[in-house]
Amino acid sequence: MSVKTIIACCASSMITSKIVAEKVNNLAKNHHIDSPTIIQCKFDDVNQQLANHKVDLIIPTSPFNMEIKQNIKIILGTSLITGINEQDVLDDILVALKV
Amino acid sequence: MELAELNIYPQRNFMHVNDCFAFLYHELLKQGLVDTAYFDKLIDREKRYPTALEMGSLNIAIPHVDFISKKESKISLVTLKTPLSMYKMENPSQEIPVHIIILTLAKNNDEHLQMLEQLMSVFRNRSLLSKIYYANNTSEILNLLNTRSE
Repeated sequence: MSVKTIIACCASSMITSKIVAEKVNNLAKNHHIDSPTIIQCKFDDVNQQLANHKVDLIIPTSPFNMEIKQNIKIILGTSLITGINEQDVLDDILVALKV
Repeated sequence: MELAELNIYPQRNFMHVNDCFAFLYHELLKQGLVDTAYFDKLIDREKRYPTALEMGSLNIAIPHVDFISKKESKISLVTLKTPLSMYKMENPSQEIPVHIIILTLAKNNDEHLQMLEQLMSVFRNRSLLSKIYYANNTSEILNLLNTRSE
């Protein structure tokens, strides 16, 4: 199990993505998984981050219309903000962290 | 949360969400916290990246823009007697009825984050959310916002 690199991204103000980043860090801690490297950025900067890092998972807080050339798992993270269906999304992320 | 940190508007009616935004903007303008650029940013940001969140039977929206308050931070909270139609953050092509709009304006990004996290911890509690929506006055809403969630 290698340390994963995750992009948490949102529209512009970097606020909802920060909430996601904190949740993912706590999730890893609670399951005794090595803390993933979390890159927080705006949607507009995702491709640049992908060019510079090997990324395992992208968690946007809203769907973003961007072509991701690489085959990277994307999990929509809005539930981590609202709390609705949050456990399902956390479970998905946990699986991705453990792969 | 202190009363001074909040602009609370219970049981308001607006024809359209932009009318509500215009009202909230004018209130912030009167308080000297924003300038005219703020309104354009607010409208533009909501159009490009909508912020309505489906919470269950009552829904909220959390518009927030990259704009630094000219003085103190402020949370504007309006409960909508007639829900307004807004697009979902999770699915920007879908409209849902929104019952409460919470507009956050901060002095810096860290503070903005703290404000939103604190508010979301309140609104995730559905019974609190419902009590806030049906509250008739400012002090009632303020008390509910300060209820410690279990």
